[in-house]
Amino acid sequence: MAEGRSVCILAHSHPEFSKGGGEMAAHRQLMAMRAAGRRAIYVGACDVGTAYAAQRPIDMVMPLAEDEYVFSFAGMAEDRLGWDDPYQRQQLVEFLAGLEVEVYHFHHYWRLGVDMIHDLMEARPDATFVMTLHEMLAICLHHGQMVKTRSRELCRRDGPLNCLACFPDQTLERYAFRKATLLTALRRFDHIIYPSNFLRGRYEQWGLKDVRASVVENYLGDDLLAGERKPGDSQRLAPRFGFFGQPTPFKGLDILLRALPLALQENPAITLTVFGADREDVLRLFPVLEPMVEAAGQNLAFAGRYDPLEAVELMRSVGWVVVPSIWWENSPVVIQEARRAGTPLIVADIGGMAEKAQAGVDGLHFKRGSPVDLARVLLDAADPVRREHFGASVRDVIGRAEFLAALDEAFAPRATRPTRAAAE
Amino acid sequence: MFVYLDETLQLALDCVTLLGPQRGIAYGWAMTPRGMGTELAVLAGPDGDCAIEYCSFHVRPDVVPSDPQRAAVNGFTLVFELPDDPAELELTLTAGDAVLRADMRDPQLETNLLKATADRAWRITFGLMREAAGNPALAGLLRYQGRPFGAFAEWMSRLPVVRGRAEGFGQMAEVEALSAPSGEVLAMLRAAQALPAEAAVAAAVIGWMRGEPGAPPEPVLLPLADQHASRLPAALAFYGRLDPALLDRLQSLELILHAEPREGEEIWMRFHAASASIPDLLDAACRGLARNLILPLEAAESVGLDLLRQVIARREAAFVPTLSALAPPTATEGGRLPRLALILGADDPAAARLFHITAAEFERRCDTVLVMGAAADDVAQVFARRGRISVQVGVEAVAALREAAGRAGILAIDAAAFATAVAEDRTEEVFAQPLEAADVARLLALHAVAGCSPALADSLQRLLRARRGGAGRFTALSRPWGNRYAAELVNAHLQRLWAAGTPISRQEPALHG
Repeated sequence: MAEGRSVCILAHSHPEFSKGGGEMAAHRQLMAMRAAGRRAIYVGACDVGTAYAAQRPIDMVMPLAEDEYVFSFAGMAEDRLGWDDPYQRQQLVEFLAGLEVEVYHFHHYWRLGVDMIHDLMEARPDATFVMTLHEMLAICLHHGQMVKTRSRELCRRDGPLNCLACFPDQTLERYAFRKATLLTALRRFDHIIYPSNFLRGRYEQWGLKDVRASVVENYLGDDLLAGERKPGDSQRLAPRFGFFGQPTPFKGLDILLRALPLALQENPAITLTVFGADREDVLRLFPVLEPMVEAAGQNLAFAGRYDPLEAVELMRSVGWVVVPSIWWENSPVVIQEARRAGTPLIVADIGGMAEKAQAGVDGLHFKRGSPVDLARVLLDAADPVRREHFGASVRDVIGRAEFLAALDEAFAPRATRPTRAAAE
Repeated sequence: MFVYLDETLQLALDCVTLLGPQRGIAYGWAMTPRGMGTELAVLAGPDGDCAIEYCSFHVRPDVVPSDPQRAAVNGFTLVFELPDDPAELELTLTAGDAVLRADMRDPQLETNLLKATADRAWRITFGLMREAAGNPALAGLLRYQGRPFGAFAEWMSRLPVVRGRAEGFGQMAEVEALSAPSGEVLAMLRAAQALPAEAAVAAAVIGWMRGEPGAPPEPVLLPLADQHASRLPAALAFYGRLDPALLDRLQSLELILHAEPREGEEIWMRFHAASASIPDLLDAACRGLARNLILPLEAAESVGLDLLRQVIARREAAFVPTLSALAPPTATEGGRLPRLALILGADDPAAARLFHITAAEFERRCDTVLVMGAAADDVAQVFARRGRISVQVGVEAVAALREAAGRAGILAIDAAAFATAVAEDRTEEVFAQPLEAADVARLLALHAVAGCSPALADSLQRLLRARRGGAGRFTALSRPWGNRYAAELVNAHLQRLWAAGTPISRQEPALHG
């Protein structure tokens, strides 16, 4: 155990500027550690500073709050996996190496750079290096989604020719360089944390083996954990379904909107509320769905954007949270939020969704990409008895003590690691 | 000078001059009665006869006897010994009892050998030049007055020059000459229409040879170890191969080419052969016809392949024994690994990132890293910035490779294969398989005779791939072929060369196309 080791948390952004799952998880970890009396520093890449740096001189590393810093990544290569400007990379390394911490906990390599990570490891051979892998960018060029670019079929394994089929303008050599570089950098970490077994399996299949690793769920934050879970009135909530998130092509909202009219034919009491998008947003992305949207009438509502801090409360207003993504999803926050809310889930039967919303415990599964099967599950779920059952069995999320204990395991120093004094 | 006895016995000197301190040369012609024995001699008065070191005769169509039935005319070239400062010097022509004498010191005689050589019929000069390459008595011609091409300099300057390739050259739609690092040269004259059966081509090869360091290269007429001239339905081809021993000093090649596409028609050119890879040269051999041929010929591509097959057969006869003798060693002897690493195939800037995070592996094992490839600068900067070992790129890297290979071997690392090995956690394996000096010798030989690209790195990658996956594996060439049937023949041929002397070649019979 390494309780109380000082930690620098590095992420590809800061929640002040964007609220993606990775940076939210990283920052919630910072808050949880501080609340527990641990010393933790946050350093995140910063879009705003980077854009400014393109126009005028600016300090590369800028303080944002007490022990919180952001940095410009203007000197990075276009893919943001390495640095074109070695001087700026060195500046960042020197800043980070100078921090009085014992552990560097990365929440990404994108916008940080594998070369910078390597240089920091050389500069701080005494420190412990931990990486949380939130997604699969190292494995898949297609934004890490492991969905084939042309057919949108699921991809189950990387490989030179598989990847060339998706990116014919790439070369086998470039693929080999990329994989070797990322894999080598990741293998040097003392510990890898995966938010899901699904992610761990994918990275191990890719070649990231023989590294200490553990599966630790992202911590949802003290604020959301403080609230009381309420099962809700199943009689009233059972036919009420909610979708939470951006209507991107991979989130499967189109599957849900196609399933809704099918379900309404048998149960006109069913309603669907889309949180995170307006009607116009959705039709702009899926214009062919307009007839379905029209046909759903009053049974379909669009609630527009929401504050992530309100997500748990909003989820309590529906009987079920539907996560119909057509891609794997690694460890969706929306599932954690639903579980925290005590609202059972309907999810596609693949990847991180199937793992985090366990069938028969946290909710129901449907065949990924199938509106017909999703309609069947919606009809099943609209039964108040079933809603009552799952409202009682849906699991809560990881607590702070358990989370910090898992981190302490991960932060434990290697027995053979040199001390800083010896290294110098 | 002209000496007349009658309508059947005459003697003329076109030029007499010194070829060296004790050597003279004479050009001229003699008209002699048919059926009568004749003799030419050079007399130096009291000093006696001058030994004739070389004598050749040729036709002189420009001199016509009044009665060709009774007399014949032959031009001649004489090279003879000279005593020191002879009091007299005569050329005598004896025919039966008659003797004609020509004073070789007559002040009216032409003594400008360059002009006289250039003014002669070009086929005579060409023939003399070709003989000069292998005849010590004529060697002075090529060194005459210490100028490039010697006595042939003015003639050479009058020849039409073609650099590599030209279109619309006289009656030819396209002419080109290629030279490969193997010492092979190919000239193709592609006509715009079919050629008669008697069409012929001949060539002489001039190599610009490196001399002492710092000295300019000198042109030398080179003997050919093999040559083959052929007529295709609408093209003339000349293939030649130099002795490998000449290649180390060879800087570039020229061809003097003489073609007679039809009786009475001559084409002369001085070709500066363009450097070409082996596949380029072989492809050119089977692209026997000009694209703008006026009349299409039946089975034209097959005819082109016949020449390719002949060239391939000649190449394999010459090169397979050499390559077999350089067969790869069966196992490395182990022991100390070389301290020189060569990273090749660094063609993608993405490679630089990999070498950034693995640089320490090289620094631990090597003193110097050579980097080759389109992104060599990116990779080299990684090592240069760290400053722990020296790094070289470009021509410096090639020179360092050649210099060090024979002594200590090299750690040759194909960048992409290194990446694969690293990803598979087999990094140690990559560093444990150096190229021994014998491997490098084989590499250089293979690159010269079966290299698929001008870059040595390509050949090295092929050698490393063969070491990894068996010598039978040959990555087929991907290129636009001038003849659509060439790919199969050329690939099979190159595969046989790459496999020469390996267990694969001993198991499988050659598949001649």
